[in-house]
Amino acid sequence: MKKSLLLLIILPFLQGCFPKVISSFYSREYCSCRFIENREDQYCHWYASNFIPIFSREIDVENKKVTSSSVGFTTSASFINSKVGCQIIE
Amino acid sequence: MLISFSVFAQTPQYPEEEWPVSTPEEQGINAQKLERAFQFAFDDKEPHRSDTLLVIRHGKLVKELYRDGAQAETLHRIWSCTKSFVGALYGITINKRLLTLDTTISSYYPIVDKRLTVENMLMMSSGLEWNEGYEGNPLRSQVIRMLYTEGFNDMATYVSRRYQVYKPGTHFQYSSGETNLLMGFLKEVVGEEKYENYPWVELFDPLKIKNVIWQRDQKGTYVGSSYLFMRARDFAKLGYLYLHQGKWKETQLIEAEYIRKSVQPNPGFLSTKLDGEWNRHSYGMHWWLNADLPEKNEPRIYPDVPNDAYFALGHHGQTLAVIPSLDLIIVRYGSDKKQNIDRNKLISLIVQSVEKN
Repeated sequence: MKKSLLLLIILPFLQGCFPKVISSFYSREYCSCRFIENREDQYCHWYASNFIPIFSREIDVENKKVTSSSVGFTTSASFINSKVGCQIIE
Repeated sequence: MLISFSVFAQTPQYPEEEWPVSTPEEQGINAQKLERAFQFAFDDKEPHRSDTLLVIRHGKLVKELYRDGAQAETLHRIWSCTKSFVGALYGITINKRLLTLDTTISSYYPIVDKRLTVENMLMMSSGLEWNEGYEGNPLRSQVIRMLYTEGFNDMATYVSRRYQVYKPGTHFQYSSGETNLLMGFLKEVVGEEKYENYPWVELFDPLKIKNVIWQRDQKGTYVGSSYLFMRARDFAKLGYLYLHQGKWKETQLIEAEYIRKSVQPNPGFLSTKLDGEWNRHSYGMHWWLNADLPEKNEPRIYPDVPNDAYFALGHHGQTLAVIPSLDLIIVRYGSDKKQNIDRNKLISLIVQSVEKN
């Protein structure tokens, strides 16, 4: 409840000054954790999460692609190859 | 009590793909005391969370431990420790006479101050405006904007557009931006085609680091500030290269003078008054140092670790420690989201286990 209230208060500010960082961070770091470090979903979710939660996520293991959404923004990151790893793609 | 061994009888033995393995005792280390360091590192009751700890002495791997899904083959993120690889790449490039420490950044980034040099950037003394906050200060953080939002398409250009706040070389400000501008600059110096494989051809291949990932921005510039992924055993090789003054087997990859300068407190750091413990967290050229600081009337940052130690340090507790007086290299990988490991305690426990040359 407290968390939701806090989010409601800071959401407009976040959208103005801090666009996309939550989903960008989550998608990129989860992608690196899962598809470079080869660690498990639970650990990677914990590692990539921050104090503002992800509202939804889609993990495409076959294509090594992660899409996450938070505070109104959606970002994807994808594993490119075994030299350059993961990149934010959209 | 710290024991210092200034002279080593052994001729350096360089690792191939893997390090030669030994026991702690054979390398003058008390195994029981060393075990205490590992217990501390992997203690569940502590707020830190270690993934890997590895100790190398006299060029031999004496102990390593992995946990929480990390293994010897895991390409672990090293976060800001990546910067020390950028320092090495610049050392190599200078050794190849493609540039000097005095080369000006404006030669390829005309927007920046004409006085700004490669040396200023390696010393984190560009004078460019920067805020290096992470989770603790996300709204004002320029490093987060650079890595994830406004700057991620072309990080070097994003950094080059920062305001010049101080005269280059006079003010120390730790900045991931400076490293990424250096990586963009390196691309211009060596040319886009060579740049593609440059870290591999010039650094990873000679050190027989076979499996490594270095992420790039959308413009193809390596993210020198943060995004190398490598095995702990391979990370230790960078320490060994610096420990041996830039020489790898028969080849002088980096001039010894460049290495010496890299592990000396830099002038910008010495002349800048920083907040709290940052004032004694001394810096050379893309390496953190444990130097005593009489110039600032400050002690070294890690009081129980020898003052010749130097470090690559990264977010969430990533650590490479090189201690020349003990011929000792330590790699520690972590996921310290709650609280960073007490590096003074960890490293000093390992130091205390060294009993003989």
